[in-house]
Amino acid sequence: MTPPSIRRRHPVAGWLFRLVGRCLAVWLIGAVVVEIAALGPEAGVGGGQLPDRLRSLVSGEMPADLATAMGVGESRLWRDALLQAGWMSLGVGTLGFGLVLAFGPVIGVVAGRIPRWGLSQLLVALIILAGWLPGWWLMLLGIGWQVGRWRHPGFADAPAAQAGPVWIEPLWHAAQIAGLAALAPTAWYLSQLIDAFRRRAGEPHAIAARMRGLGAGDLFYRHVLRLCLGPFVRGIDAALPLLFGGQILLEWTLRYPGLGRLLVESARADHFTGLLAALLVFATIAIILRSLLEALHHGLDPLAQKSPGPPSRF
Amino acid sequence: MISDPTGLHRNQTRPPNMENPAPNRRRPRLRSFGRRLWRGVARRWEGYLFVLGYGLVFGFLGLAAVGLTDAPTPSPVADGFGEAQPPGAGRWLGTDAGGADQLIPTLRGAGLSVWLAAVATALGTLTGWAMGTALAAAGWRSAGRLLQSVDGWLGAFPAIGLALALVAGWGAGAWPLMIIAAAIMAMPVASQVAGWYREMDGRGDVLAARAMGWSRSRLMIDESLTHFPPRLAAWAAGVLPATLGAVTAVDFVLGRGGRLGHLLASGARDFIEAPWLLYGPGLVLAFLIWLLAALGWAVRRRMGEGPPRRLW
Repeated sequence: MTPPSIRRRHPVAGWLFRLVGRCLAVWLIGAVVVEIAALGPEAGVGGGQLPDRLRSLVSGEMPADLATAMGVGESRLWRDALLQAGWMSLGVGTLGFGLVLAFGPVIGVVAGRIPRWGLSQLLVALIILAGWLPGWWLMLLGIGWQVGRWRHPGFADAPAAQAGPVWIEPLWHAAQIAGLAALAPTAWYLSQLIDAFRRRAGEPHAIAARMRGLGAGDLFYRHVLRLCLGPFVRGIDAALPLLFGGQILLEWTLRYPGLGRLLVESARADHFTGLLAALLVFATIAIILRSLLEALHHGLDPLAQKSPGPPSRF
Repeated sequence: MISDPTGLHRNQTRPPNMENPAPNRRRPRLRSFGRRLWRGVARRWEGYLFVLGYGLVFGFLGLAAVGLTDAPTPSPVADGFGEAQPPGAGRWLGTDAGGADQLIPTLRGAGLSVWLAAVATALGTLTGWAMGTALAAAGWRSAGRLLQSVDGWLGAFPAIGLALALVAGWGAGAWPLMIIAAAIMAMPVASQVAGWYREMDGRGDVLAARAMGWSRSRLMIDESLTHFPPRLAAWAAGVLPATLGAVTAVDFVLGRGGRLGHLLASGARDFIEAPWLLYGPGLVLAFLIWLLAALGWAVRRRMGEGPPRRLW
């Protein structure tokens, strides 16, 4: 919790102070979860090895089976493998976040502006219906297409590299995973947004404004959208773990050498160092993005500036 | 005072629309029961439809899970596909390498997955409710804020990642997976419940009741028995399809359990030779998730609740 004096006088320092506190809390929780997992009967390693794991991450080598599964190069150092996997996942995550950011708010506003409630519901329902499809079912269709194209499921392997579109290969692979992973969070964000619009549009002040003869556009932008800035901005950060969850599954299934694949391969082989590293990286990225969106919300929304307490959900 | 055998006071007149003036006439019991039943159904038809919808899903699939215990599980090694046949008449989902029909294991796997997800959701919801209520009942005023903070920090992790980490240590059997899923789900519910109690403390009617001498524990019991069950039911209905997806995802990546995820994993392994082994369970899973999502949406609309604040 940032002292109020720091928050008032130095907003950037206060933001950084909060961010560091949250990162520490999240790292602590991640370490506790992995320790609890390591205590399980199937782990076979026992708890209390957190310092060894951290030391291994800094200077140790990745186990041979994990390195083979991840397809790392000559250097098997954890930090190199993490850097490589993190770089690959960063592309997917950035694309996915960009897709949620680009399509979610726009479709939400378009659906909210449609005067007929049924039509707007239909527009959103189609996206929500697609979002409820498990990402891997769409992915199965993608795999089917790839098998028909290259006779091999997944990619980043020799047949795909030989026959696939080589010059845009990394971007193409990242875009496929990001597109599929972004569908569910976009749909969930839209359902949150439309629910918020519906509640605001049914409030007495909005009904009174309508009865006074305010047009649909003015009503939406002045009385509904402005009061929905909270879910409009913060809904995106709440959808981030859903995006990362889809990314984890899709990276592993499509053999994409990112952090998601590292996490799943570590879970399959009971390597808790890899689990710890991947979980902490995902959580840190989520916390940073959340803090940025929270600051944006605080700057945009006058209601948030007037609220006395600390922002919710943290 | 002599009472009138008709049951009316002496100054009271008979209702004019009473066709049969015979005193204390008893209506036919069966017809009266039928009318009351119809009124009840007509008034609460949405609730009965929910029971019917969920009953169809869980009843049939539960029967399949319990009754089809001899269903073949996918073999770990694909040994030739000479007898594998694509879907056709008499084998709706095709057959595997050994010539076994895939419909039975798919139905059984779907039943196991759906019931596991349902029990995990119920367990997580009840645990979260108990945690939130216990902390609120203890009178710890910062409990709600603390729960909210921990929920926010936990919410930074992809829940699938947390589930995979815990499953790696504690096993992917039905019970460990159910408890892990419930534990991950309990924290958002507890945070939500603590927030509801905080809202309750500031509400006008509650302040008035406190001023009239009602104790806080009595108000909490009243609130948790009247207002919370519909909200919790809406939350659970909204999150149930996501739990089914998450449970299947864990089974899918670990390739164990004999549930839908396991079937999907073995189908993905043999995809080039027999793609129907993947598409059959995939279609069943997609259909189930859509059905549960539609039912969850209807329950939320009926209860007037928004979508769940967080999914997996």
